[in-house]
This record gives sequence, structure tokens and C-alpha cells, in this order.
Amino acid sequence: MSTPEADLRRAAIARRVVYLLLAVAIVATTLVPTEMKVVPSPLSRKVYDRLEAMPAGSPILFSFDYDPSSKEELYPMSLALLRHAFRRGLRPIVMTHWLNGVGLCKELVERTAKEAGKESGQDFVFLAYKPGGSNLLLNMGESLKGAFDKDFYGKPTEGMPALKGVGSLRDIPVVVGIAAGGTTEMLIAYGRDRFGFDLGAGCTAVIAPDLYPFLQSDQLFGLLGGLRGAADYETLIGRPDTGVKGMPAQSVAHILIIALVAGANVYVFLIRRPRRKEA
Amino acid sequence: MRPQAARRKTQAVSGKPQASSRCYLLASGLQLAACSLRPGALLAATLVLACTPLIAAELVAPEAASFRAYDRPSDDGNAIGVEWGLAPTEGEGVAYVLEVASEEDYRAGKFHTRRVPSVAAFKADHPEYYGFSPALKRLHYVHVEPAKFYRPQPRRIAEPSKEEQQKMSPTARARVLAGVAYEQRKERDRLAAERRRINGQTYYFRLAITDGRQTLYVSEGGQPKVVTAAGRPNLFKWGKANNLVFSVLFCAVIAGFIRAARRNPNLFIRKIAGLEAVDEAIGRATEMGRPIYFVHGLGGMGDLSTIAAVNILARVARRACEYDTRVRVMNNDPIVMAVSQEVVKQAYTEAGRPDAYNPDDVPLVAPDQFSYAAAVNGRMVRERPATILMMGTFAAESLLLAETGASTGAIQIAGTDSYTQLPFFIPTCDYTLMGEELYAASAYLSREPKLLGSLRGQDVGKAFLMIAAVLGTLLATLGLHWISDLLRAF
Amino acid sequence: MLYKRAIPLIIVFVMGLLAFVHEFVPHPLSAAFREEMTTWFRIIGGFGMFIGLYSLLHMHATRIRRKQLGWGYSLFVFLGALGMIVLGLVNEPHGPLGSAPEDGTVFDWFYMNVQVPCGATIFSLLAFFMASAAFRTFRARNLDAALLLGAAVIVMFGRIPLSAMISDVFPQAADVLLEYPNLAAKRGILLGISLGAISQSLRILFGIERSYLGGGSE
Repeated sequence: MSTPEADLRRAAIARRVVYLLLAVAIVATTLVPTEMKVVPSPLSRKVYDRLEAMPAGSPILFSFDYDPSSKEELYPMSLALLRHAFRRGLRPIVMTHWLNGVGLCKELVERTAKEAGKESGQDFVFLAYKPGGSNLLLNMGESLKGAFDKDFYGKPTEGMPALKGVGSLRDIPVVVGIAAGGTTEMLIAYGRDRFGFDLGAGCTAVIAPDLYPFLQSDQLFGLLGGLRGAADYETLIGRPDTGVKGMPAQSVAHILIIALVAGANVYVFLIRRPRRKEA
Repeated sequence: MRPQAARRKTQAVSGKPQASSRCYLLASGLQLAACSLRPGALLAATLVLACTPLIAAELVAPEAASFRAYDRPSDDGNAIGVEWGLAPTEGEGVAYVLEVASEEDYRAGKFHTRRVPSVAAFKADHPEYYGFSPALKRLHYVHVEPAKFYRPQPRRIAEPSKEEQQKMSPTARARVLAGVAYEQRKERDRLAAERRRINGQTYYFRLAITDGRQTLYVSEGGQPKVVTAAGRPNLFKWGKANNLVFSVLFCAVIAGFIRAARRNPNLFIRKIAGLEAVDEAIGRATEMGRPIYFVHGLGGMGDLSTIAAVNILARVARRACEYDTRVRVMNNDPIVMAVSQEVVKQAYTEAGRPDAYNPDDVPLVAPDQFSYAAAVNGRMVRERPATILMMGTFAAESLLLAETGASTGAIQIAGTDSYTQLPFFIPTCDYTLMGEELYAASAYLSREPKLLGSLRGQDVGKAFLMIAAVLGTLLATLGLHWISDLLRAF
Repeated sequence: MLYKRAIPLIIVFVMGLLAFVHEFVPHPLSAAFREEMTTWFRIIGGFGMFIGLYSLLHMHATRIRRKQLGWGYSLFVFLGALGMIVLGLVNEPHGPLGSAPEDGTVFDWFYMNVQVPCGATIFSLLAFFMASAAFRTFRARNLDAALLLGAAVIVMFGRIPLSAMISDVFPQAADVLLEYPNLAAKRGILLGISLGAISQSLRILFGIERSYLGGGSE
């Protein structure tokens, strides 16, 4: 008859074995270069198609609402989106609702702009952060330049070529929000439903299922979920990067967990239970 | 377009056959006649038919009586609503031109213009202000914010350049920048007040219809009709009236059940396993001589789940004190910490053991999410509590906390309204309170009639929603949207 | 006592009612009131941080003084807090009260290269904990558990690119599970939470629920 202490010891050993197997699997897959073909999901494709359909020179607002703790999942998709926007000749307007995310946004914008040879103020504008959340969105819906009179680099937004024809959120046809928290819901309620732009979203894998109701009601035209969403988008734009590179490790981790769960069930039902019945 | 189809289209719009369709009929008749004549005549008739659109289409303006301007209802006074009826000659390529002028500009004959495509901008597009009546589909509507035409001039706030700032001492720089920020804030407030003043004045409107070649004004007595209106702040959002009615009804139902519960305190509540297990969990900690951990999660005192958690903490602290078992409360927010300290102190006092209270048992662990998770995990592993209660709002750290707690062998009871974290709590905790079960905790544990009555009222509300969902789905499937329109939130 | 019970309850009732009324009143005065209250709430919350800081440091100082279990970790609390405070005040290379333009400060460097990686490390433990939680609890003991197990396997497999390479059925099955039964259950839970929140709010507003004031029901 097993005691609670013995059960705990057994569980502790099993746990450590699981951790070790997972660590070895992920590290090995990361160290050994493995190529995996990524078939983009329909939801990711919808985001891509929407940007592809935009005429060159159209303004597009990106709201990168995450901080460094969610960087691993959300930075790759943000990078892919900006690369796509620059390649299409769109005019990205980049902002964030998270104060801790400004540094990440800045690095992202400068990196992609340098790659594409784009100039701040001319081809894109980095508005960075302002507090206010929903109030800020309402202000931007009245007047973008009133809400942000200067960009991150201190240049006045009034008369800026990158904001030509953009008086407010009503003049922006597409907004894409990348969220680690609840900012997508805020963009829907205080942005899309009031000012009429098309909204796409990206988010961490954990909160992706929560955004499905908005897809069904057409309040979102597409969704990039977690690292898989990033990998999908990188594949669609033809520039595989961190997202695609992470897919072998993610796949191995998922398969290992499935195998462990299946193995545990087999052990319990085919080996341990008959033994107990015999005893 | 075939002549019969053209006639049906214009009749659907205005109910009367129009001049342009009569010309089509004439031309078609000519062509038919020409078929019986020589080819030359046929060619002539075809040319007449082809030119008919050029000579026979006349622009017709909407009826003058339908053109109105008024204060947009249920708003803050920043917009004027302008509406007009449909015109018989609407279509692609035809647009309305709305002219707006202040009193001064009107006297000078100067108007700002706004172009509205004739196939867009209907009053039915704004149910939050005007409802769902089918008649609204036969009215065009735009709202005009005069401050967009008559923008207040912003005052330029002088800000020292980066080079000038570098030359200043740090204190001087900080003082100057603070002054600039203050002036900018004052300027924003001034512009907002100025916009409100501009929007509150009376404006003059004229309406014309144009197809690019000719422009026709909506006229009255041979002159373009001018309507006036001014924006006024309103006191009630009529679009939210349904919200208010349901809120008041729900309050009344809850109040009714509270009264009923006072008369008959033995109201039935189904068993909530997680709450039934709280006493057992406290008993386990007492037997094992190990502490109880109460983990608040990330919510602030404004979150309902935190308030519900504090209710449970009060009872747990009191019971634990009676059994001489230590309770450690892990706080993420300083205000929650202050409230928890007060609650635990009071609980210990009520249990007759005020000396047992130690404020170091109710500390602020860490304000940052993962620092909090790491600190709580570390303490769990070192102190190995017998019981862990996780009540409140949680995010990604939920699984970190729950799995570490499970590894220590503690009995775990979790309660949260963060439904994204429920899938992590359910497999790792012994008991989980899902959403409203957490809110029901205070009523369940105290069995006070007032609280039990409110639970019963809540259940009535849920029953109403279930019936509305089923009926509404059935009706919507049949194309009847009464219930979905009634429950629409703006 | 008046100031412990009656006055806080009156404040709660009045402010709650005003917040409720604000939802229905579009007048600019209502919006101005809300903005003012939000600003005051942020200010009070900011001062609350001092209370929390005192509590944190006091607790760890006691642990060090009494050499309680794990007191060595408490030393790190002081080291970390003191270090970051000093770095923030010194604010190299711009000096105290200096601005912090694009190139950042030492404080920023420590935040980005110490605090952030530590947070990311704790976050990444989730992968391991998820594996051990799944291994421990996904047992097909009964029908409910078997359904949970089946759904988890379908979604886990359907979300990886490998499944799409084998057949489209797997990602589609995962999407169907997420879009229909998962969503329906979530909506049901959300409706219950919303009603529970309204009921709880009413109890707090009318003073029926008073535990948060610090004490029993008296």
C-alpha cells in the first residue's frame, strides 16, 4: 500500500523526468537545424490577404501592445507584419498602449525601416506611447495629430508626409493590433465599432481562443495566434525567421506531451490496473 | 438597362414613374417601329436610343420637407444631425453636397461643403441614436461636427530644442520641461473648451444633388432651402435605455428576493464543492501543523474577484485563528495588502486572539507579475504549506503557482473569474470555483439571508438570459430581430 | 463607528451611483467627473506603493534579523531594491533629473538585461509546468476526463505544422473545437460571471457586502 509520501516522491521523480525529456527535446531540436514546412492557417492568410489588397501608399495603423515578457511570441509576428507593410509600400503608423513596450517597438520599427530603406516622417511614423487607453483611441478618432502632436523623435505630426490625408482614425482603412492583454477588445469597442476601420489582430496563443467570437461576428478580419501565427505570416511573406525556426521545437514539444500523456494512460489502464486487480 | 427594369427601380425609390423612364419607353418604341422599316431607319432609331440617356436624364432633388437639421440626440453636444429623403435619381456617380456655414459666413454667402455619395449614409446606420425602424432606411443622414470645419487655432508652445536642453543644468531642464508640459495640458483643455463653444453655435445648412454635370439645390419657394440647428449637450443616452431598464428590473428582482429571504431564510443553494472543502482544508493544515497560504492574484481592490476573495479571507482567517493555524496572505497590490491586513486583524480580534496577528504574515510579496510568481513559488517550496487558497484575478502565472503548489502536496482550492486561466486551475487544483461561484462565496459561507436572496435573484436573471438566447436565436433564424435588437448594447 | 462604517459606505454608494449614472449621461460634465476621479484614483494608487514598499522591506528585514528559513534570499531583495534606486537616481549618463533620450541609461540597461530576462525565464517555465500538469492529470478515468483528454490531444496536434503536412483534417478539427464547443462554453461562463458581477456590485453598492472594509458584517 503506497503512502502519501511515497506517492509524492514518485510524482516528483516523474515530474523531473518529464522536465528533462522536454528540455532535451527542445534544446536538441533548436541546436540541430531542422526545416519544417509551414502551411499557413486560413485566419493568418486573411490578415495577409487584407494587407496585400491595400493599394501602395495607404496608411495602416499598427498597435503593438505588449512588453518584453511576451516578446518571444509577439515580436516575430510584429516583425513580419512591418516587413510586409514596407514591401507593399504602405505607410505604417506605429504606436503602443504599453509603456514598457516602447523600447521594443522602437527597435522593431528602426530595424525594419533600415532593412527597407524607409525614412521616419516620410514613409512611416512612430508615435510610441501615450497614456489613456480607450480615451486615447477616442481622441485619435477625433484628431490623430491632436492626440499625438509629435512623434517619438520629436518631429511635429502636423504636415508630416507620412500622415498626409490622415486626419483621424476614420481616415485609416486598416488597423492591426498585436496584444498580450485585453487591448484587442478595446480596439474593437472604442476603435473599430466607432470609426469603421477594418481590424486584424495578433495575440499570444493562450488568449487566441478568446478572440474567436470577434472573428465570427466579423469584428476581426483575421487573427495571428502565438508563434504559429508568426510562422504562418513569415511563410506568407516569404521571409522565414524566428517564427518558422521555432516550429520544429514547438512541434516536438507538443508531440512529446501527447506521447507522455498517451503512455501514462496506457500504463495506468493496461499495466497498473490489472496488477492491482490481481493483488 | 431595359426600360421596364428602369421604371421598377425608380418607382421602388419614390413611388412615381419618372421622366427619364418615359424617354426610354419612347426610344424603345421608336426602335421597335424601326424594325419594320428599312435598315437605315433602324440605325437612326438605335442612335436615338443610345443618346437617350444623354438627353433624357434629369436630376431630381429630394423633397424639401424631408430636409431637416437638428441637435443630434443622446450626445455631448458636439454634433448636429442633418437628414433628407431619397431622391428619384440616385445611383453611382450621383452625390449630395451638404453646405455648412456659421452665421457670419452665411451672411457673407460662404459655405463649407461635404460630399456624400447617394448610395451611402442612411439614418438606419445609426441605431444607437435613432433605433431600428424600417422607415430610417429611406432617409439619408450625416452628423456634422462644426469644429471640424471651424477648427480652433492652437497656440504654439515654445519648447527648447535638444541642443538648448543639453546646455541647461539638470534642475533647470526639469523645471523648463515641466512648465512646457503644463502649458501643453492647459492648451489641450483650452482647445477642447473652444471646440465645445464652436459646436454649440447655430449653423446654416443647404443641400444639393449633383451628378458631375449639373447641380440641383433642395428648394423651397424657388430658393435653396436653408435649415438651421445648434448642438446641445443632452442628459440621457436613449440608445442605452434598454440597458437602464434591464438594470433596474434586475435590481428590483434582487431586492424582491432579499425581502423574501428575510421572511424565509432557508433558501436552497446547490453544493459548491470548493467552498464545502474550505473547512476541511483548514482542518488539514491544523493537523499537519503547517501554514495556510492565501494567494490573492494580480487584481486590484477595484476588481470584484479581489473583493470576493477578501470575503473568503475573512472567514478563513477567523476559522484558522480559532484552530491556532497560521495564515499567510500573498499580496501583489499595496492597497489589497492594506485591506487584507485590516481584514485578518479584525478576524483575529473576533476570534479572541488579537495577539496572534502578525503584519509580516500579510506582506506585499512583489508588484510585478513574474516576480510575484517566483517569490510565492519559492516560499511554497520552502515552507510547504498544507493548504493553498488561490482566489482572485490571475494571468499567466496561474499555472506556475498551481503546479508548484501541487508539487508540494498541498490541498489547493482555486477561485477566479479569469476564464482564460480556468483550464490551468482545473487539472492542477483539487477544487476550482469558476467565475460566479467565487462571487457567491460570501453568501454561501455566511448563509446570510440578504446575500442568499441576491444569489437567487441572480439565478432568475440567468434564466431570463437563457430564454432570451433560445427565443432570440429562433426568431433571428426566421428573420425576426426583435429580441436581438432589444438586447443590443451601444 | 461613524468614520469606520457609515462614511465609507456613503462614499461607496455615492461614487458607485455616479459611476453608474455616467454610463447613461453624455453631458460633458459627466465625462469631466470621470476623468477627474480616474486621475485621483491613480494618485492614491501611487501613494499606496509606499505602503507596500514599507511592508515588503519590513518583512524581509525581520527575516534577516531572526535568521528565518530562506533569509539569504531576503538579502537579495535589499540588494536589488537599493541597487535599482541608486541607479535610477544617479541616472548615468545624464545625471540626476536629466532626461532619458534614445540611448537610455544604466537603469534602462539593468531593466532590459536583468529584470526582463528574469521575467522571461519564469514565463518560460510555463512550458515545463504545462507538460508535467498534462502528464499528471490527463487520465481517462471517466467520460468527462476522456473528453478532456481527447480535446486536448486534438488541439495540441492540430496546432503544429506537422499535422497540416499529414492531413488538413487535423488543423480543421482543432479549429472546429476552438470555434464551437470551446466558444459556447466560454460564452456561458462569461454570462454567469457578468450576472454574478452585477449582483456582487449591487451588494457592495447598497452596503450589504462589507467585508472589504476590514471586519465582519457589523
